[in-house]
Amino acid sequence: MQASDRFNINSQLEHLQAKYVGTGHADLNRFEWAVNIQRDSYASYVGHYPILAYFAIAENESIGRERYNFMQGL
Amino acid sequence: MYLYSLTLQRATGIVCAINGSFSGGKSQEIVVARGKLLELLRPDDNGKIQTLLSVETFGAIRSLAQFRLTGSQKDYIVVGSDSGRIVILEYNKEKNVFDKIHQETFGKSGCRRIVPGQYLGIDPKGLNHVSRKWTEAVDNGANMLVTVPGGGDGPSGVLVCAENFVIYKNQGHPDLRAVIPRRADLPAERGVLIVSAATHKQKAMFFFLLQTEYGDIFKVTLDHDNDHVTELKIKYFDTIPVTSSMCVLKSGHLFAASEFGNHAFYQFQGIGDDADVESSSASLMETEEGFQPVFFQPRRLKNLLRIDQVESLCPIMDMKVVNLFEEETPQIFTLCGRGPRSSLRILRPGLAISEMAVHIREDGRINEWRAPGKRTIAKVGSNRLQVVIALSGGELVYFEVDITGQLIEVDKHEMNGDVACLDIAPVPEGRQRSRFLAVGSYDNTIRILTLDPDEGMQDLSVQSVSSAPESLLFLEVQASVGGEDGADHPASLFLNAGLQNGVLFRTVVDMVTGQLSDSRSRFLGLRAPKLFSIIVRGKRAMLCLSSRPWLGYIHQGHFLLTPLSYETLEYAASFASDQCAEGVVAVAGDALRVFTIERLGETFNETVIPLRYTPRKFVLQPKRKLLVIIESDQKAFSAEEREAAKKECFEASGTGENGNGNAEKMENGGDDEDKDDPLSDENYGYPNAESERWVSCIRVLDPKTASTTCLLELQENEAAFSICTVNFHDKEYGTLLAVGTAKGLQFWPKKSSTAGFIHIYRFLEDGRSLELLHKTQVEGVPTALCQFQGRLLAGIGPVLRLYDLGKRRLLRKCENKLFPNTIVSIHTYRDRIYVGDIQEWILETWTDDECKLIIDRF
Repeated sequence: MQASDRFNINSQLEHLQAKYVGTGHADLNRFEWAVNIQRDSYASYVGHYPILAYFAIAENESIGRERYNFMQGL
Repeated sequence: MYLYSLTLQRATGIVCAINGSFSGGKSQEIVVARGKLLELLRPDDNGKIQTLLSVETFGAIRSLAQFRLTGSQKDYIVVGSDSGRIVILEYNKEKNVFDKIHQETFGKSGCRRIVPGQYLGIDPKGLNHVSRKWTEAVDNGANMLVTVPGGGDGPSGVLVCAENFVIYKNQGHPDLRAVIPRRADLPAERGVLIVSAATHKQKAMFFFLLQTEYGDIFKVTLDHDNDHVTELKIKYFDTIPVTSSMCVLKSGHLFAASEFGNHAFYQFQGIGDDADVESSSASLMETEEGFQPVFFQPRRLKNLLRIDQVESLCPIMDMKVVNLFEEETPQIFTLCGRGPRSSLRILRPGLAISEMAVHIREDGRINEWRAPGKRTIAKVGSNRLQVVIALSGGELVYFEVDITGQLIEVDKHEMNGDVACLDIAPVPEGRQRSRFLAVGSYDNTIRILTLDPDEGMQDLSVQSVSSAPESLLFLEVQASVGGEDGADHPASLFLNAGLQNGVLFRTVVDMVTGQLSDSRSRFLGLRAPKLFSIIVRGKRAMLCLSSRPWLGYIHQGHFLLTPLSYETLEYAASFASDQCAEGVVAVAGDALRVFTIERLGETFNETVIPLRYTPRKFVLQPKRKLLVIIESDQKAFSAEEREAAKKECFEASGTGENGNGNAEKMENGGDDEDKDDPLSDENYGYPNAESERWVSCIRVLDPKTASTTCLLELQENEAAFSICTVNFHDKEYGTLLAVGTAKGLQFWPKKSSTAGFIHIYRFLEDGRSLELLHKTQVEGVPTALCQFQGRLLAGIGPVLRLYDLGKRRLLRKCENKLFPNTIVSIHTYRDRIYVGDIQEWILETWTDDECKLIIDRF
């Protein structure tokens, strides 16, 4: 019984993680957790044009280049 | 606490732009997204861009696309935003609104990873289902896709833009790859990315314009015979400032929505058929180190001619509202721009005027009127078919123009006392006469009299006002259907009165009964406003001349009263000629001036003073009315290095394909800094240096003459980040200037700097130039400086420190290291210090008797 439960929980969790990107669980390690935060941050930067422009001015690059850098980090 | 806000100036930076024929027919319009604003722009006949419609969407617009259904006459707009929905809009020309045609919800709101909205792909001929037909792995460095026309118009497929390459791909077709030409002075480790693309399609041919992150535009063509593409060619076209979107209009124009700085509207002079540096898929050569690059030099604009600019304040780095010019209203000083396109802009409320005619000096009065009557004629009012004159003593005589064109006296009326002013309403459509005559009297009343022949100049209504009226004007508003709020507005008649106390009085006249209602007042200036009717944009508008001239006009359904940025005028009238279709001729002092009003609907007009690098902050010298600005840029060469590089490239290309023109320019002018300079930095950007190099300067600017009185470039990789004026206890040098700098600042992989300094300068020559007293090294970057009780407060990272002035350096008095993150701003009020942290709130600090800084609360 326990084995099949564990099997169910895992596949449910994977399904949730596929459907809702960024879902975590109790045993999530630090690296994966940080990666999720970083990817969410990059997606937010790309979606919000003023933040993208802020980075572009700070680093003296074009906005297209900043967008490309963040997309590579996703 | 609740704050109420009013938008003075809408957003000017453009996020994305699309073009199409949104109102149907042959007109070409541009739809532009400015953050949360959606606007429709159209170039008028003179090539100037006019804004037709501006709508707040209260969301973040991320992408726009246009499409046309087969057989339709107009284009529709698809908007991708952060609302979790996709919306299709149609532009309604009659009502001047965007109609929502369709809305599809597919996810939650916000810019999330899993909710679409960032990119839009259009195929109006597609069916209900989109099925995955073909997938292929692309270059890891690919960043953009451009659709290649298909069907009968071309070979279809897609252009993949990757770092350094453009690749043509199609299902079942071998890839064609070409390198993107590089600027000769680009450091080897930097790649070339395409950031913006536009497609131009005509019946027989199509081509693409791709712009790189450095501003160079390349024309990309595909040699093809029906479905098979044989060659992909990339040829250098022109260089313009980097854009976020480009639109190629069918009328032969290019609209370039710049990332930072003013947007531009160009006309195509050529389509790049002349010989130029070209890279082709056929000549692609692969070596052990990779693909062989193709080099080129940017040159003067050849295929494009700029015909209009749309001002953009994006990005604003610092701003102050001060009255430095002793004008009626204070001016807004903004530091705008990035890199070589940086500028200080002085914004003044009011419409911009462009003067057309040279000033003519004329003596004597403007007009004389002679008509029958024993007494002198005091005032007159007229329209196309009726004339009323007021004689001294208060008698009104009414004339009409009959069928033969003669003026016939119809009626007389005695008023109680002298008439101050009068006006007749314009003749309504399809009628022979206007019913209403407005008379203003010195007993502070305005009366409406009827000019009906049966009723004989009776009073219809009386309105008392706060002061004697100086001038009257009727203004008719046409009937409109729909409008911003969807309501129908019938034609309405307004009576405007300029009163002796400087107030403009505005009231609605009922077109049937002549009753006056719904009156509004507004103070315009210190003189009684004189009202004149002129034509602006084909519609009747009103010039109110008080101590300042004002323009009252209808714009996008609203009545706006805006001051004009011009001197005091006495009289004005409409003026039309070949050179100037809608002008105004006015008397100012004893000179006659002719001018036009350029753009309506704008609150501010700008004076632009160009700067060298990205400005960061500025301070005022209160006594001398000068500005001190700090500018800095990363990854750029200093002025001397750039001059040396320019000389080299001039010598190299002087006898090359660019012809002898450039070499001659070098000999004649030396440093030609105006905008038409072919290699001006404003157009093609500063050359790139390694990321640890900074260039920076401190500039003292006189805004009245727009000239720089002192410019100090910082040496040895230092960059200025904070600035303030200080008055130390020790008054030997007077007011001093403190500038915080960082040396060798790097952001990646982690923020670090070699050293930080605080420079102390003193002012010489009545504040016009600076002399360095000493530099004090600090352990971090001083990001905030402020004067406090005769000493200098500096925020260096998380440390707040108080300094005193010494002979050779600043002396530490006390410090507080307990701030959470980085200090970004310091303000003081009496004995309290307010410190702003980069992440946390404002913290309040104070000093106690032993001169310790204590954090109080936040």
